[in-house]
Amino acid sequence: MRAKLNALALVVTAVAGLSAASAAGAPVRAQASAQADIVDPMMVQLSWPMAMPTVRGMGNGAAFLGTAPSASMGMMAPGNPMVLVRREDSTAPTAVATAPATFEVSADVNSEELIVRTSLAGEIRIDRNGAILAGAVPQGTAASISVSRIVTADAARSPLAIVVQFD
Amino acid sequence: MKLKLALLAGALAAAGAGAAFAAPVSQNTTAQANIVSANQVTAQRDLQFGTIAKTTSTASTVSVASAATASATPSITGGNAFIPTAGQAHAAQFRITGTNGQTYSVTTPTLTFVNSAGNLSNISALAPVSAAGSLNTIPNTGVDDLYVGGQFDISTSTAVQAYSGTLSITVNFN
Repeated sequence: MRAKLNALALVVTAVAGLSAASAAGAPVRAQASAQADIVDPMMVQLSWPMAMPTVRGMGNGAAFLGTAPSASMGMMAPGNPMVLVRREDSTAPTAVATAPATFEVSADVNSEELIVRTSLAGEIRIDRNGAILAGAVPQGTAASISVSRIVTADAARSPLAIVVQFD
Repeated sequence: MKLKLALLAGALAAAGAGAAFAAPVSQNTTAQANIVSANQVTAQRDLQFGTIAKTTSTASTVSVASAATASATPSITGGNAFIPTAGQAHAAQFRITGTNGQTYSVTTPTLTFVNSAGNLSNISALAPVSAAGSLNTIPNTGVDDLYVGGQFDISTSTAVQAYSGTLSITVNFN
């Protein structure tokens, strides 16, 4: 009799165990945080975007290539390899942006805006649509790029100046 | 004398009968128990989009893939938004704990951002992928990691600021 009671108790225990396992079917929920930072692009807006001629590297570290017409067509040529990007937003209108390795100046075909992009890549890329100037700083660890318009008395002939300064 | 012998015999017989009732009886039966792991889902890593330079033309869709990589770069489609510095993004990671071979199902994860009204649109979480390579089945280790990415649209009216949000996942264990 006692043995039968013991066996019955064991069966009850086993059934209870199965019921606990079935409770595992309840849905389980977890959460993780999400984060995104939206910033203004570094952009220079010009009313008269100018095409830049090809500039070959000189000295230590500057190399520029462009798809613009040559100087024989009357375009401006920079006097030294200096490209300085000025961020135009409400937080830092004159802040200098550092170009780690390469930069590219491209023109928006719809709005005539010039867009300066910087990249960690070491290769100069001017094959992107709308690119008119790009450069690399292979000898330096960092550089500053500036694209601005030189205001002259004749607004229609205001040249585009691109200045790259090595750190 | 005969009476004494008879009484003695009767007592002995009774003692023998009593001894027969007191003899121990043993019997064996089987016992069984099924030990299972407690099912759990815990967040191990957040969903990070990194820094995105907003578009100045048409809307751009910013997307971080559901992948196990420690660092990634969001993909941009449409508009002219771009990523100033690559490798700052990564998918969220959730760890599922259960019994090896146990099956489960994941309802569509949800992604929300605070202050997204008028700034971010078409916010959604992407389908999860399993580190074990086979979604919906816990491997022999009893642990599986799910990676969940997300995406949203930005436009020229998107406010320049940091956006914080929550990625939720619900797992139904079988």
